[in-house]
Amino acid sequence: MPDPVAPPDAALAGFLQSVERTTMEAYDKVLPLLSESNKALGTKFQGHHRDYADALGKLAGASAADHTNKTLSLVLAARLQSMSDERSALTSIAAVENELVATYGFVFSTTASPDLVKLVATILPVLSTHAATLASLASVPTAAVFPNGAFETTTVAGVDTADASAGFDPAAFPVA
Amino acid sequence: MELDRRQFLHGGGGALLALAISACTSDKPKAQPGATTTTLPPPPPTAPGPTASDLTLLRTAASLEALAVSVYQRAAAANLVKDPAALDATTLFLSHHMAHLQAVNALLEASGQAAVTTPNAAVDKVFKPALTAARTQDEMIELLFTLEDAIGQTYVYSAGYLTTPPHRTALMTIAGVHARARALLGIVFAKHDPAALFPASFARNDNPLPPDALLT
Repeated sequence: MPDPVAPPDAALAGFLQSVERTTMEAYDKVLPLLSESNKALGTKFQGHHRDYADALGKLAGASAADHTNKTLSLVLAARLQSMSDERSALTSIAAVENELVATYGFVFSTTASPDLVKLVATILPVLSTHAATLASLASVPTAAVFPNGAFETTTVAGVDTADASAGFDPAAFPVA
Repeated sequence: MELDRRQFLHGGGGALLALAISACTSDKPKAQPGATTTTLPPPPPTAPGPTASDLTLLRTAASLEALAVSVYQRAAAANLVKDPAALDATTLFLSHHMAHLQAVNALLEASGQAAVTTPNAAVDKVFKPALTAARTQDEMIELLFTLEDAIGQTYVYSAGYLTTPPHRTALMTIAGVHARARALLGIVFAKHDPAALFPASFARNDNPLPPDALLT
């Protein structure tokens, strides 16, 4: 029987769940622009995010978010409107995956729940692999596949940040 | 709670050995997710300072980064990677591992421990023959792919045990970069099917190291 997740960490898990659901929604906008082979891969990644949302929801308990993050949904909808071809779709969704990596990195510095730590540890490297895979399919130069150099960032920011690689700040993207 | 050495080591080693050897053979068996398993006890609660287990995991991490630096340097010396893009990428990855080594050693030194600069001997024992056996760029790239995979998996495993948030944060911000290097080596240079890089939705968190790799 796992230890109960402390309320602040349960809320954090609910926040991450809402972010994962919003990412699934973002893939819905990206997939129509992809070639058949890349669409299959994108669908696989979308399925990963569904699995993460489900797993996080179990830890979130009463704080589970069975809906998208409304603020983030608006931000991504505006950003993804500019996609016009496959390359722009790949780079746009790679950027979202990079922001997710930063968001999960931030969680490591704030959470105390062993179960949440363990779960997030199994998610972050796959998100990094998503980001690198999508960037390589978009023929992004190798150095740019590492937006923060030798380390993933743990910086999060709000809606109007100029830092494109920062993650999503739970305070700025509340679970409505 | 102290990390139980037997728990850390249980079930490890075989997968890494098989992968490293297969990296330098023409008939490459695919890694089977879940081929080895480590049953993890409940991770410890967050503690105010590093435990002996934390220090063991940090020492081991430093030794793995030192190994990665050494393997990339030996790979460069073998002069098998000739494609300019692959050469640029492996040079970049070497610089990343140097930065990782420095960062993990800074954590050790901040905890009053000596830095570890020697490559992990137990894991090197696995990679050395594979490095010697590599004859082509493709074989060398496969070996580096395996190295990134194994070290990254070790960090995911370690995160479940580390009790100090800055330590687990540091290892996971490194693990993400290992994952990116693994992806580029696999997709761009080894021409793996991108989907094959994702055997499951979640990264493995069992111990991939041979039994004597832990630096207590």
